[in-house]
Amino acid sequence: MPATTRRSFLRTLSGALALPAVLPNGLARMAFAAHPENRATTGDVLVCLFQRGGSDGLHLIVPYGDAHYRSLRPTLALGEPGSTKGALDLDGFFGLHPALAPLAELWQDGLLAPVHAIGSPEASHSHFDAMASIERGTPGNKTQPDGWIGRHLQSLVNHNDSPFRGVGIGPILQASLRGSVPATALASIADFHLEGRPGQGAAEVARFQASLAKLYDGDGFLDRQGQLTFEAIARLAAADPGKNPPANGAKYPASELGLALQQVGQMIKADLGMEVACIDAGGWDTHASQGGSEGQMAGLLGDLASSLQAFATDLADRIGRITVVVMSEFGRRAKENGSGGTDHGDGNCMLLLGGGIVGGRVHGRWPGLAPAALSGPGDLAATTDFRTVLAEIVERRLGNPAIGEIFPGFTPPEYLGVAHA
Amino acid sequence: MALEEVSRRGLLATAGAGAALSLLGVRPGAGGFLGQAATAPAPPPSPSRELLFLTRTSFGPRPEDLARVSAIGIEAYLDEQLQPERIDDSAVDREVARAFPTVVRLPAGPFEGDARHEIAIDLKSATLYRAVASRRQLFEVLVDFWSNHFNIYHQDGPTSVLKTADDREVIRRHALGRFRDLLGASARSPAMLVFLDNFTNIAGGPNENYARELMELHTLGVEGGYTQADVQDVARAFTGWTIERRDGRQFRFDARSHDQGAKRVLGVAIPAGGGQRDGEIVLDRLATHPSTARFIATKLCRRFLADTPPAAAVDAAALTFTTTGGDLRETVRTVLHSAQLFESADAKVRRPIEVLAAAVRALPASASTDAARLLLHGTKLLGQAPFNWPAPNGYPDAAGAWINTNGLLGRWNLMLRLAGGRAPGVRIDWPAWVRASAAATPTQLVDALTDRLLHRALLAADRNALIAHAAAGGPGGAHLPVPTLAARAPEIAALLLDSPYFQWR
Repeated sequence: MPATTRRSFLRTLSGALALPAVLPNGLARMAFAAHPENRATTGDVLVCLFQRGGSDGLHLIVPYGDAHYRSLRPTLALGEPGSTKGALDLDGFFGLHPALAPLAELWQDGLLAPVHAIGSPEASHSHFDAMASIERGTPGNKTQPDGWIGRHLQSLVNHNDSPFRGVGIGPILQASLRGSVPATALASIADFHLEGRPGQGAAEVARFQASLAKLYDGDGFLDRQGQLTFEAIARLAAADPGKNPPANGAKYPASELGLALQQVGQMIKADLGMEVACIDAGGWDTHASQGGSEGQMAGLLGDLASSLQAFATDLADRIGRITVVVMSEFGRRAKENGSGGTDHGDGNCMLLLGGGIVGGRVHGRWPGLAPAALSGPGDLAATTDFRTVLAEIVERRLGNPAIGEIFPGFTPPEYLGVAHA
Repeated sequence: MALEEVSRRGLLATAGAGAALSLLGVRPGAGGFLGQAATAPAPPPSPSRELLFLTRTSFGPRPEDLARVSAIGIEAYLDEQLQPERIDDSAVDREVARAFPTVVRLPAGPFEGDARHEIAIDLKSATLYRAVASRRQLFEVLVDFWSNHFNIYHQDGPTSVLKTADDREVIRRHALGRFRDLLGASARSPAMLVFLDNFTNIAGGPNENYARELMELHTLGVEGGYTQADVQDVARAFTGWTIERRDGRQFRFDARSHDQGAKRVLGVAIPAGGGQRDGEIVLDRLATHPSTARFIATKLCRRFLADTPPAAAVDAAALTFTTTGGDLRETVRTVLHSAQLFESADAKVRRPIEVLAAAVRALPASASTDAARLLLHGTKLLGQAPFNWPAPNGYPDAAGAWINTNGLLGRWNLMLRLAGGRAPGVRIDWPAWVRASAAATPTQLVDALTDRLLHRALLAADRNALIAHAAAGGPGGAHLPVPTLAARAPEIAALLLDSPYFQWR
């Protein structure tokens, strides 16, 4: 049934009745009433933030209490809590990298939960193999054509027909969003409309769009993406998320990540029917000159923390219905290399943020950094399958019990208890 | 294999938006209210063999290119294009040297901030200008291919300066040469040594970054049969391969940083004390490994034939690669001789660089080096500015990576700007063009522009939609004055460039 309404909506757009949903730059967009087909979603909005490049989890959530930590990282190790620029204590064993200080308050408020020693049974030291495996969500099966989030959206029956159910921020749609439910890729809310020619009015732009839509009226791959684009343009113009400035004094950093999270916040507030947003953050492949309390990675962490903190502040009124997952394709080698960096590793930490997260504690089983405990070429061993954490979030926060469809062939062990049911 | 190409963030073309509709029994064809018997729309008329060959082997045909291929035949045209040194491109070279001088001659450094930025912009601009203007179109396509295969991110500190020499001395010098020479030049390229950190790879503290990507991305492929132990010994073999200290612009082998111990790579023992030879032995082994032949053949077939390359074409290309000792000219020739090429119409989509360059080449524009600015802006918006892919695997070359809501909308907006004819470097005299075309009615305008921009027939419904747009409420056969038709031409041109027809490569 959802397809009926979706298709008929498309038809009104491509036909002569098309409303001037698209106006040239600089003009106020016509405000539509919220579309009646946008149902309120029942589960949390999931924001999946992927750190591309293999983030060094030992540098995010620092095991300063592990007896082997310092000897493995003679130049990178962070000082004890209380020392100058030292780690910020979390629980007497783990600490936050000092550049993550903006997250300390979220930890104290119980909104933040790291999960340590996460990994995949198909551990690969290749960025591209590991990313593909995690985003498919089917380690060991490279032929799975869709992504785990795509299967989540497909298996969740909620009568939400918005093209914004799944949104990928950026020019290339994230592989995890692949699937039968069409997802929208968007880089900039402000630019997501047909511009028209200089000096053209709304009616002329609408006429151009109507003619263009007729050229995308077939059922080929390009046609379908074109139809989705027209629908997304119209829905976005109607909801006008750009009208929502950051609330509660939230200050997003002027970075790509800050802008991405701000836009996700705007779309959440505009009630576009968004259920999942995927964001990429790059630069984590720190083979050389990683830095300790300051330097290359500290800069990335500072941006990550300020962006997340601003998002949590901005969305404070809705944080009970939002879950943020920060993850990467793998962790990095426990022992630093000769370049002041770290090579590709295995076990890593995830960060979970949201009102439904069991926050204020570090989850997961810590395997330790003793030589015998390390895996492969000297990596932090992975003690929890990444799917175990994602499955718990999907079931308890997104309200989707179809774990067998989302992670085929995987039966999660007992959940870690990272999320409130 | 197809997965790998788009695996950074991409998706495959397999299960897109339409799957949902078709699962629900909806066929979004013309007049398709749900429940009514809708007929499947006919596929658009196929492009000619000459057109298909040209769109695959160039950054889009200019009308004179199509005329030439039709006149001399595909085979003779391919021969010409495979010998770019015999094609006079001096006009383009002069323009590049004039407008983007650091591409040809890098002044003495050191460079800071703005100077670095300008050097990077020069190379990006020259790349885009050559895509639009060069007569060595297949060569430029292959330069793009190998630039992505040996991808170097332009914003990794000194790479913004070092990539200029890499482009000239590694990629352009060897793009149609022998793979082993290309690989060896890349291994010693200061830009690559910096980007993949090998310049810091030293005995006692090896850095695996280059070693891993050398096997995974440059030669064997991720399933090419190497292990983590191979990665570690390849890293040791390349210890001491670094850059000259003064300004970092030259390769240097630092024997004191080299791990002189014995290594074992892919089952081959490398005895102790080999010094710089260790790395060369590894490169020899990798360049001749069957997995490398297969990997390169697969990627070339993906570039020229289909996102999921046909096995027979890959086999043939891999065989040529092996029997010719990695002769890239002959390997490309084999790929372009594949029977599958002519069965693959509308199977590849143009990526952002390709679609924008193709538009400038197709439009009746006098494109100058100034066009590079708009092209650079456009490729940035669409996510494919030259040398701007941060990961070492290069821009993906599969439809699913590029065709999405953001990508289509961005194309639509940019085409309208190009077709307007007022962008710097892309001036179009529409009245003059309309006069020369002899189009006197909206219908004739649509037909003339279709010929000019697409060189192929449209579905009747599409043609009618364009005629209706051009007629603006009047009859399509109405005789209109030149200024009126010229004023309507930009939108018709933009609609054609925005249409699915123009997105195919």
